[in-house]
Amino acid sequence: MALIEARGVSYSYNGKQALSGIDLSIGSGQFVVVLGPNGSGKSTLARLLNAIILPTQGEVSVDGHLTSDKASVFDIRKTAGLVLQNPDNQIIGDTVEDDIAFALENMGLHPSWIDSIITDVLEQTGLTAQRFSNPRELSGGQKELLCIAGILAMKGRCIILDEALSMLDRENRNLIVDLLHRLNRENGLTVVMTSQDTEDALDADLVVVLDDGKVVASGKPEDVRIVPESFASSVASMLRERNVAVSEEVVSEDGLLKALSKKGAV
Amino acid sequence: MIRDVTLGRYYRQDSFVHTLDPRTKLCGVAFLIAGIFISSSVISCIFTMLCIAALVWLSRVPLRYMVKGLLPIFVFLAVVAVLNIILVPNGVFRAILISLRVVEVIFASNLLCLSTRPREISNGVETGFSWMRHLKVPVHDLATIVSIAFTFIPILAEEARRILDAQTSRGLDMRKGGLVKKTKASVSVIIPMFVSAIERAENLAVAMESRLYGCGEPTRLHPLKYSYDDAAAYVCIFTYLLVVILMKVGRL
Amino acid sequence: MIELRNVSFSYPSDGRQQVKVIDDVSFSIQDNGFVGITGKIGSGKTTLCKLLCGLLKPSSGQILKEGRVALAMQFPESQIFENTVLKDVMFGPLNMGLPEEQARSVAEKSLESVGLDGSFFDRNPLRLSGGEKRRVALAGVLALNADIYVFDEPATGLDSRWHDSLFELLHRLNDSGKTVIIVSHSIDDIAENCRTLVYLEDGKVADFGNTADVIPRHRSLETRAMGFARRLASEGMEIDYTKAVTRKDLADLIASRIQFQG
Repeated sequence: MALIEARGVSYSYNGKQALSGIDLSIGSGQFVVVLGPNGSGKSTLARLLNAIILPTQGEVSVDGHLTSDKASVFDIRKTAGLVLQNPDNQIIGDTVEDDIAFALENMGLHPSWIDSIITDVLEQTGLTAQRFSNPRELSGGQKELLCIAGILAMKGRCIILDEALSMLDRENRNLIVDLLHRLNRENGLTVVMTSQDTEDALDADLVVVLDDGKVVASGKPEDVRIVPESFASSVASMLRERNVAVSEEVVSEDGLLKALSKKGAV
Repeated sequence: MIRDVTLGRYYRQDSFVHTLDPRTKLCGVAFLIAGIFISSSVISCIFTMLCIAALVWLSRVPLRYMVKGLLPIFVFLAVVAVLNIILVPNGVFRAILISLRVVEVIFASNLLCLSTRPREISNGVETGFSWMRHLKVPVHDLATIVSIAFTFIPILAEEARRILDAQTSRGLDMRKGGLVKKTKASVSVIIPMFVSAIERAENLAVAMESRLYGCGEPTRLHPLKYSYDDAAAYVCIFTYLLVVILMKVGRL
Repeated sequence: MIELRNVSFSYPSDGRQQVKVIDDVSFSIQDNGFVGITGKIGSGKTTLCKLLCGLLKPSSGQILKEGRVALAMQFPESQIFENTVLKDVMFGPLNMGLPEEQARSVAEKSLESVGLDGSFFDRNPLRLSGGEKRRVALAGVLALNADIYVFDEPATGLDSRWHDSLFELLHRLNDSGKTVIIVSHSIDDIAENCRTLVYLEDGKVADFGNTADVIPRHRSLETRAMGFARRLASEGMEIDYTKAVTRKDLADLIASRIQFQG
């Protein structure tokens, strides 16, 4: 059974159709990237998966529970935590550990238990040294890690990130993407990331491309025609313009390297 | 860079006052302010001033921080003082008394804010009033509102600065023009602030729901616990108020 | 033309020691330049923007300008407040003292230059999409008719569709004779678009000059194209990765290498 499923989901508000006819199936342990330009419905989808909003048509289920089932809402949010785009609008605590504690306090856990979970999560995200720092003094990348830590603390099976990386520079983005992949590989954490950046999709297990509220493509990165071009595919097309034959299927740097070595260039 | 615009912000220090339970400090400030307004004779005023001075010394916070917040009030104080001197019989004494009381209240509230983290203050209020849950008062929600407000003040202030800068670079000059023009000019800052604040609020609400706010009776990572220091402090607090009341009653 | 001579800027951080954000910075930008300013977060880029446009005055040193400077800050759409697109763009020209008719026509031209036609003029800007709002905000800055434009991180938060059209807009602006200065944390964006580069580190100018010359001198400024070229070189391809600053350079290098091999 899939961990997260959306069946025939549509969502509209104020007469605007944000999503229509979405069918999605995310298996446990998958690394999923939802690509799409601004306004394609990615944020709406993320909020639907976290039971923040309910579909106007169709249904969403997480770990077998329907998001429309009021009794399951908190279990769903624990299983699939949501991280939003701007860390400043999510951080509540005065100190890093206070902020991570938020979800745990809400769950009614005993203080010593909360304390040990915080220690674990700080280590996972590399923020141990900042345990008592004021979150406002952290760098953008660290703030994002803090938001992720706050969700990891719930020990759920899935983490949903809604454009959480779009405000970071490349170095910090890579840091966090690496962390997510590591958690995905080592802990089996299901990751669902919405993004406008093609590069994020290249290492995913499943890429879902949204445009104007509809799924226009879905599958493995190599099988899906991803627009806009990635770095490697744009270099590949430039090479074709210079009469160097490179397959149109090249999307990643590794792929380009392989293609060039086949030509004996390396 | 976030410039702290909090109303008397926390000053990290290792002092007796800093380590007290926030409930003790809240109670202390309340009693102190009561005492400030009860003291109306020269002796009781001096007594109150000495107590405040002792607290300031105990808190080990530099005086210049204690004095913050006095400057903007200064003009107001001067006006009140002058009005009292002119219009009220025995006005000079009243003028001094009122000015003194305002200054002392500011010191008292600064003492609280400088020695207690905002989160601790709201924890203190929440724990102190938690018995009101049984009266169906949403204590936890109210305390959360207050602590979030504290947290977001610097952020909103920085946003206001950014928006003001943006409009200034589009030629906005807040100094020019009469009242009407100035009002129209401030609209260019107020509306974007509202728009941004509402967006932040929506984000924050989603984030809180996502982190299970409201799913049950919350616990606390650092539950408040009284210590012997607090007992001593409470004794002093009650003694102070008792003395002031006795002085008042005994017309000292 | 803008010239900075030994400019420093400190900001009094309440009571404690002063923070020197910009430290003895000197460089000059010629007319019609297309300049990129980059550096790590905290290197002083935004402060430098504010100094260039006059929002802040230097604590010491001089800034010499010929011509007016206009600034588009990060996420400029947060400055939108009027209830029609046209009125919001007219805000700047009206503040500058232009009569209403003239302000209107300047605003209309400015909106057209960012690709928003007449159908947008009466719409409520707060209800537009993110990319459209960004354009309205930029139109508002362009309506100031300055000679020098400074853009602080103009592409953040834009998807690639808007990203590309934004840079097309900047190039059009530059081609029309204006000086364009952008601050960006994306060295790739700067490499692909700017002719001149100012590299800030801890408030000082660590390097300054032609983009293609400055970039290879600093490992931290390595572009994606250079990184890949370096990888190719380490796998045995005989190319000089320092010459692969942009993707086009990279493609040229690879193509000529392959053709050379026959």
